[in-house]
Amino acid sequence: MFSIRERVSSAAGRMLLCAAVFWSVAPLGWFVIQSFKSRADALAVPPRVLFQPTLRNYIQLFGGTVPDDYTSSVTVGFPQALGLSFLIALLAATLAVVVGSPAGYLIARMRRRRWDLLGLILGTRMLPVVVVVMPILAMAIAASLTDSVLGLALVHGALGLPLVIVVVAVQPISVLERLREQASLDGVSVARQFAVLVVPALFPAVLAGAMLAFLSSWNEFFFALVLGGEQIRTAPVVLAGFQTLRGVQWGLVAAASTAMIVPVVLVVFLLTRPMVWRSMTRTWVPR
Amino acid sequence: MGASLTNQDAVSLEFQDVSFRYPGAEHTAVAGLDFRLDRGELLACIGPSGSGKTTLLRLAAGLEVPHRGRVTVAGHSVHELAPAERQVGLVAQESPVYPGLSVADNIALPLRSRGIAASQVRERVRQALESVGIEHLSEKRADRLSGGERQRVALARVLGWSPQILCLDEPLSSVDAAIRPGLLRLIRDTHDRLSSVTLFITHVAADALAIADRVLVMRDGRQLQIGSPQEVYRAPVHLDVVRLLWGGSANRLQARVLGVTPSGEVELLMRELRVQAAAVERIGHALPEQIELALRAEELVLGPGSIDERLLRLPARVLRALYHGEGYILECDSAVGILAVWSISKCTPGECVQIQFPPGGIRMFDAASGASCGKLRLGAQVA
Repeated sequence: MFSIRERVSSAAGRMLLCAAVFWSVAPLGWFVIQSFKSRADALAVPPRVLFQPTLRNYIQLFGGTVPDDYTSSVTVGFPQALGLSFLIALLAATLAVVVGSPAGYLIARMRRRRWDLLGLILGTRMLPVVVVVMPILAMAIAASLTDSVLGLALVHGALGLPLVIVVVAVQPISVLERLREQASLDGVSVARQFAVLVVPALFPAVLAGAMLAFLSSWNEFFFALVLGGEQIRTAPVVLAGFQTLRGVQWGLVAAASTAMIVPVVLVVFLLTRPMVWRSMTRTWVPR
Repeated sequence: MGASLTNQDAVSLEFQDVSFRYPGAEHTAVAGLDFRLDRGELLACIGPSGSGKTTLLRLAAGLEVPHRGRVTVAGHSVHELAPAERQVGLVAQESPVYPGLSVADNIALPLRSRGIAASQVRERVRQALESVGIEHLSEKRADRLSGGERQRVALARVLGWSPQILCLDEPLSSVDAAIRPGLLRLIRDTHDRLSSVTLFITHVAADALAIADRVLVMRDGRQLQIGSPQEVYRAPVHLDVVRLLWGGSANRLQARVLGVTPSGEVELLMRELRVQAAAVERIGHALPEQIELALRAEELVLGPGSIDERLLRLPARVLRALYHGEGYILECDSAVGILAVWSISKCTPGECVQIQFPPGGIRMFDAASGASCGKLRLGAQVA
């Protein structure tokens, strides 16, 4: 039996939790609702809770025509931007994982100065973007990598790299190292040690790092704006373009934001299912 | 790693003045280790936590590089050999199994890695499973087993591929008491069958004494004593060896040396009691002023009748009787302190008994350093 004091404190805790969830999710929910409103409903003061939902914003966003002179003049190009964002984020995450996972594992194995090195690596993410953008732009111009998928993927990959390194490097690997030592004495080749022990043990961390790197690229705006151009316009850059001389296209902004959030939510939801994790972390042993 | 170890090499393991310090650590993990094990020798290493036992094993397996000295296997420095060629079978104390693999795959992995034919692998796995009594667990995932079962899997794995050097780090620490003696015999039998060199780390003195050819006692990274189980048990050179090997049956008595006569007679003050003692064995010329006398419960003779009038005999009162299977350990209050005495019959608390000290003498140690300084026969009480 719980005492009254315990019940009160439990109820207070739940209320606090609900408030925190509301604080985080409410603006997002409001934006999703806005995306289904007509222009008149979206701009109404006071805001309308009851309205006639419409897909007009999404049709407009994904290249369809709507009988509305106000927004039809805007060249959206959002589906292409979304695809490009996805491609660049995928390349950046792959690059970050390929380079960052071994680096993170090596740092995790360091017996001394591990935290100093990790602080230094993470510190690169703390630098103001404006400080690093000029040298990077100069290098990109010199290498003819402006307005190209590869150029932006390389820069986004570099931004995701510290995230992957840190997530992998902070894993407790003492048990893994003991097992590797034992395996080496048992005559197990280094390649098989990686297949049987290292990859399954670090897979969840690598996956988490990959997700962070993907999201970091997916959401990145400043470098995409500076290094992009006519050809390469990612979704956040296009979204920012909805602020026109005739005002902010709130309906399009809401629809585009929702469209950008959906894949992220789906990926996070799928990857956090225990069943998915179990199947992906199962040891692979060649017979 | 140019050298390689062949099966024809006469396997031996040698520590030559080996010292090692973990990176960033203030103190050395082990220092001055110096001993040699020849083919067919089983060395049990015993010591308190943090005494360097596991480090010793890691050095033997070539998993750590000594800062000073050399560790050699069959004359080759262990680091000159590739890990797979060291012929070291390791049973680690923590997480000794490969997770995600079945028990059978755990045992088969070293065999497959050595290119042994599949049919032979199956047979050897079957034999190894049988020898540790876990045939029924063959297809289970090894990391889902209990601690004791995992240790048996790890033991089966080294049995499967028959290494020439066995490094066992507390292999029975989580094993049920009922199967412990059987596995202890299995370790000894396997060692004999392989004629291997075996390093057996344990914190159970009885296990070490039961199966070892030699026992190494460690403290603070140093070897306190190495010798046959009988030597180490009967003639400990340090109070820590007494503590570790004699356990609950040890009596330790504080004494002050009042004087030494030219004929070698020693006068002691034990609490309020002045006792005349004769040196049976002396180490060093001068005796320290404060000494500790150590003797086992079974060395004291209990009884009302006198056996030898020249030996110290004390009246005592039984405080409690602790049952130990074949007899009792009686805790008795005497003029020199609480004494543990072995008795085959039970005495009731409060009963008065006579306790006689042994004619063979008892070990004495420097109370400050703990080092042995010889043996004394306690004689008559001085008036």
